[in-house]
Amino acid sequence: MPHVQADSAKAQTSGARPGRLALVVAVGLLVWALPRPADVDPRAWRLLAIFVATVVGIIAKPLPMGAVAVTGIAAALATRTLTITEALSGFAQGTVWLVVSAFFLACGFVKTGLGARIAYALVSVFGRSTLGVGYSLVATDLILAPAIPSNTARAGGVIFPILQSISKTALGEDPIKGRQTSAFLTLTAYQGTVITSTMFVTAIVSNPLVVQLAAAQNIIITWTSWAVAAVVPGTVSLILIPLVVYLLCPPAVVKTPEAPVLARSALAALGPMKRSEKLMGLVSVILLVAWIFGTALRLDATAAALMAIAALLVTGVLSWDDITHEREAWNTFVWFATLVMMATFLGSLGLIKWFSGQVGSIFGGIGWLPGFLGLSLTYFYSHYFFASTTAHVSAMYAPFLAVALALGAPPLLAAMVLGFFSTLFASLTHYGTAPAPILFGSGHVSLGTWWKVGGVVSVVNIAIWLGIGAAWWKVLGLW
Amino acid sequence: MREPARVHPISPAPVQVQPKPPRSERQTHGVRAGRLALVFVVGAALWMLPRPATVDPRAWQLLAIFVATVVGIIAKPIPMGAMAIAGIAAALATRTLTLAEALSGFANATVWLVVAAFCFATGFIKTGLGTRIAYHLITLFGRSPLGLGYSLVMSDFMLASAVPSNAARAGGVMAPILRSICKTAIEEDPVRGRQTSAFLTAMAYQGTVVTTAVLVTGSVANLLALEFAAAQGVAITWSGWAQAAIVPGLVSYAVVPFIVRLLCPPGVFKTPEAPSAARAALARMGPMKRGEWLMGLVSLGVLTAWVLGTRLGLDNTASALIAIAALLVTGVLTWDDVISEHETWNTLVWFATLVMMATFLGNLGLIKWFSAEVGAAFGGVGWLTGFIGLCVTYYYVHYFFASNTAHVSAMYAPFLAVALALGSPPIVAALVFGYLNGLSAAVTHYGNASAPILFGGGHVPLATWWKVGGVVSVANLAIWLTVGSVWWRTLGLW
Repeated sequence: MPHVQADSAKAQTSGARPGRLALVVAVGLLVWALPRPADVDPRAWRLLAIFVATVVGIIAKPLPMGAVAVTGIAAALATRTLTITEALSGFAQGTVWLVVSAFFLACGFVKTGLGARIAYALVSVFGRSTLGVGYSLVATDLILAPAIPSNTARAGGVIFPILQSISKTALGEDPIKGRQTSAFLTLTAYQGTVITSTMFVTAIVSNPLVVQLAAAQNIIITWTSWAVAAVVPGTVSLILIPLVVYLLCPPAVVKTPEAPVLARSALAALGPMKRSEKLMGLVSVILLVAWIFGTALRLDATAAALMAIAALLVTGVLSWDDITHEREAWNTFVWFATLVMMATFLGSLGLIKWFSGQVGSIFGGIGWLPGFLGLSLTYFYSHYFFASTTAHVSAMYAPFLAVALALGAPPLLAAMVLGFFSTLFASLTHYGTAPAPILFGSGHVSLGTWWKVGGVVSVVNIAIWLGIGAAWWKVLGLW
Repeated sequence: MREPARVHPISPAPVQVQPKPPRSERQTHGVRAGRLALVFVVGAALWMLPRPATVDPRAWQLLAIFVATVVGIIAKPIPMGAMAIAGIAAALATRTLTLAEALSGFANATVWLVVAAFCFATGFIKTGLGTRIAYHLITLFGRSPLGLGYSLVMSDFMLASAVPSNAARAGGVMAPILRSICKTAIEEDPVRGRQTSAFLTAMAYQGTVVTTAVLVTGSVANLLALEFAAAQGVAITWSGWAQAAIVPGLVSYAVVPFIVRLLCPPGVFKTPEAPSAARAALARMGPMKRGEWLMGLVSLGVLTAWVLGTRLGLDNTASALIAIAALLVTGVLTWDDVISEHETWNTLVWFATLVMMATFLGNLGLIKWFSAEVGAAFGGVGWLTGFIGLCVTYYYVHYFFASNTAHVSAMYAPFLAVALALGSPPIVAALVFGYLNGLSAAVTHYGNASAPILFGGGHVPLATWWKVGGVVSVANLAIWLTVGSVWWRTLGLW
């Protein structure tokens, strides 16, 4: 599994970048020193200052995200804003361990080679045309998405190597036409992973964060309810978006008879399915069933995931070393638990309630529908300024949701739409979510094309999700 | 003389000397199926035993899972952390614990104290501060083998106040220095040099055994013991532990090296070259680097905060986390150092799991029930006789354990419960089992995680190691139960 974020952490060895650290401290002190409104709990206000400084730190990156989180906890402890029990409570959160477990599952998919096998099998069946290869890559991503909470692991770890080998063959045959074909496949894979990331809570780390932030405002979203709400607009997007890319960035060759041949020889090289691959497949199918029927089985999603990890360990598919060496999981564990903890206490100390009250009274005259549309479009397109979905969600999701609720938007609808937009907006740029730099870095797509396609795709996605999606959610009774 | 810097200092050393599992062992995919079956059978058997009417059904189920987990930690069908995850999964699958209960250990303050301390260990070894301290002590005291030995033991002690892993201390600091001293000595005179090396190795090991007992932070097992004691309502503070340990500890530090010298005498009595070699090594290290200064400063700060803890109103874990943040912000540690140190995450998982299970065994009333049963059975025995019998059993059972943690998780809670049921003074009983746990590692070359590292140096014959261990163990037991009990009387603990 590629450790993209951690690599950038490695490059920086001499501690915090002083200028950016000063900015973070200044922002924190500023909020801290602002006159506290009389009806806000003093601890809530102090926590707000620390939280804002932490989020600014996650965006400005004076230190890697995890180190910023630890520093945020230290600040909360040193200023007696939180007790040690409160400060550590995030590390025992179910959602946090759902994410950690899913990272270990991802590790199993990559380690056993099951992910690559699925991709090759799909290409060997559907890969006779360029569009077919594109759809095969997207389908692989979709199959892996529910159990791999890192689109970096999917798009970077599984899809990218296969994409590269197909591109290499195409470029070898005809450099100019091959480049156009590679550009199409790269963009399809990227726009596809953006959509699959939107469809499941466990498809990207920022989705569980959304669930947790919504829960802090008393809106309960389960794994199943998210997936059901996303399935209709998601499927439409998965079908239409590759066609949009096909129109805007057409491949030079329409037929790719060599792709299925390539995939078949790759499959032959992999040999028959190994014991570990079969077990990995079996465990993930069972887990998926457990997630889908979670409420009926009275089985929490995290409990099911932990049992799956135990099964993989006991059968030797994963070794304990794989788990302790999975740095990205532990990195995510620390920063994710910290953000969840802070958001929970901002909610329980009454800050969000106060904020909504304030905003509600200001926007009293506006109907919720135009207000919510404005909010969600602002939320979407502000992603041009963010290099990570997590940074964006931690900075903007909670206040935007609070405002939407204050305007009178249906709670579950508002929480879900903002949640879906929290990954769809990654389509815009070549830095919108972690796999973007990997795929863009292959050099097959020019920057101008990437942004043009991203812009058009974003409009199509918004139309699909707010049009077909809204109708589907009406059917589901979300509003 | 200096070892090349390692990237992940804590883990590799113990791994490279770990004895390979015997060939006969059937291993499929890293899992020993026979042993796994044993673990399962133990759990299932206990589960099906008729539950005493006064015991909560959940408590009984948890007991079965806990015992199976501990058997798994000892028999090791899969590594300790994996066993812990399997234990959690079993508790969840059988609805013995809710998800919130099962995960609660991960938010435990002691667990995070250990995580923070592992980060300290990385910092000490990465910056070279630990090595520098050892060399400084050698320049001061290293003119004789005994002095050299004390220099190693003292540096181990200083590190033990913040590094709760004797494997990290032995593997990261003591063993590399010991290795270079021994190499020089053997090159000068193979026969005598080997004898001196044996003496230094045995002394370093027996020293770290005492240190492990004296300081709570000497080993993770001690912190586990504290949590187990707390689950039975006996609260022991970090400074309370050290205060009660300091007098018998000092006596042990004085007596044990002489026993080692008697049983495993060094080949020479003067080592005039050692201080100059250490000085040369220090010269090669150059002046203290920024990272070392900061590391030293931060650890002094944390130690002060720990000592003054209650007066400052600052929790031990809180000050440790603040210190880690300081190390990260100043760049002494990088975030990559933290997430790459897999020993940290390994410890987090198994430690949190055991703490959680022990807590719920207490909360669900199982320990109370067990004590009442045992108390009724041993009604006639006086507490002193009973307690001494318990102590000796607890101590020498360690021949059968390859880890302090396994020993504590299997035996600490029931032995403490029995001692309390007999009427022993709670604080003394909790402390003594804690101390004996660290001290018991003296007996074998696998008694704690540092033993295989030091024994792996190859300077001490197995028979000598066991002979020294046997005699030292008797001396330590005598010192701690006599000098110790007088001192604890003075402190008013009983």
